[in-house]
Amino acid sequence: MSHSSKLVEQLTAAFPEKVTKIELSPEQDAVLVESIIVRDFFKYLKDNDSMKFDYLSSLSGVDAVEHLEVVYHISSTVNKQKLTVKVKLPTEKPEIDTICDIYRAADWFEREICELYGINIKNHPDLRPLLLPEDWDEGPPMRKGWTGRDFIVKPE
Amino acid sequence: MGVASKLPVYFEQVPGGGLVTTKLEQVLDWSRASSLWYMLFGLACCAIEMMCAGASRYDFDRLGMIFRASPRQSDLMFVAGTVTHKMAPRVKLLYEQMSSPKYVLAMGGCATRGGPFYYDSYAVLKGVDKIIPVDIYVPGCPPRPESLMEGCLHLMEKVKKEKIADWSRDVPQQ
Repeated sequence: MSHSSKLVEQLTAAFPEKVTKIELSPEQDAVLVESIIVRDFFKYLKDNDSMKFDYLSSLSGVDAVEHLEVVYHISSTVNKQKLTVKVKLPTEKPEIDTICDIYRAADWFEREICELYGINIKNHPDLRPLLLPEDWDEGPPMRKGWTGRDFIVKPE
Repeated sequence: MGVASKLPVYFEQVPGGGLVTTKLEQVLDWSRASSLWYMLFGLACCAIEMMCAGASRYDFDRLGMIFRASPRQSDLMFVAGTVTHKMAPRVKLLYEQMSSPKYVLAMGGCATRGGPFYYDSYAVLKGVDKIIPVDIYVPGCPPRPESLMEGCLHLMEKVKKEKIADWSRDVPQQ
């Protein structure tokens, strides 16, 4: 835990005001990052010698009703540490920069959250639908309160 | 030998005229019902039960049913599993590639009516009968191989009752 806390302190010091600590669990610390510095932040995580985060485990979207979230789970096989990175986005016109040139694994994850949550990924090379049908026109289905033509809400 | 030994029986059963046609129908229906070749095609966990039914313990070969790896040579399609909206056009295409007479068996709850994905699902088609005609529905999640075999036996009974005129029933009439 202390190791992880030191990591978060270093990150908040490197990006003052833009990166804040959030509590998730005793085992793993997490940081909340402003969406405008996402690319700089991940470049720092990947290239800084004390970080060397080289493995993006997962990238998910969350609809928290009052805002949207993008959650990155990232780990370092060199320094044996893990980090959860969260980015809050507004529900209206959510946009975030791509990191798929920094982490290649982010490519399909970003396509997926783009189609399922309607989060626009800026500068992504290929945003074709990945899981949804090619002719999908009913909007992002993982948003809360979404309904579609063939969608049946479970009665209470 | 089977046909030759039964021919006198067929002759005696047929009353009056139309002798040749009726006999042909019976012989052809009997032979078709005894060799329902099904497509090597599965969509989800039901496909595991279908493989089990086709393998040595339940042994569909003894019913004259074997996997064919091409829709062109298949008489029967098991829709074994969840049909998603993305998969639906592909299932339809496979069905259209089969040559008539062709049959569809909807296996399990998903292919019948969406199954556990009926409520609150954006991705799953609520029953494969919305895109292709279905002859037999087999309930279960997934159905055991015995259930699948029961469904196939029902289908065989259905095939045996068919007229030659029924064979192209799914081809649009001009």
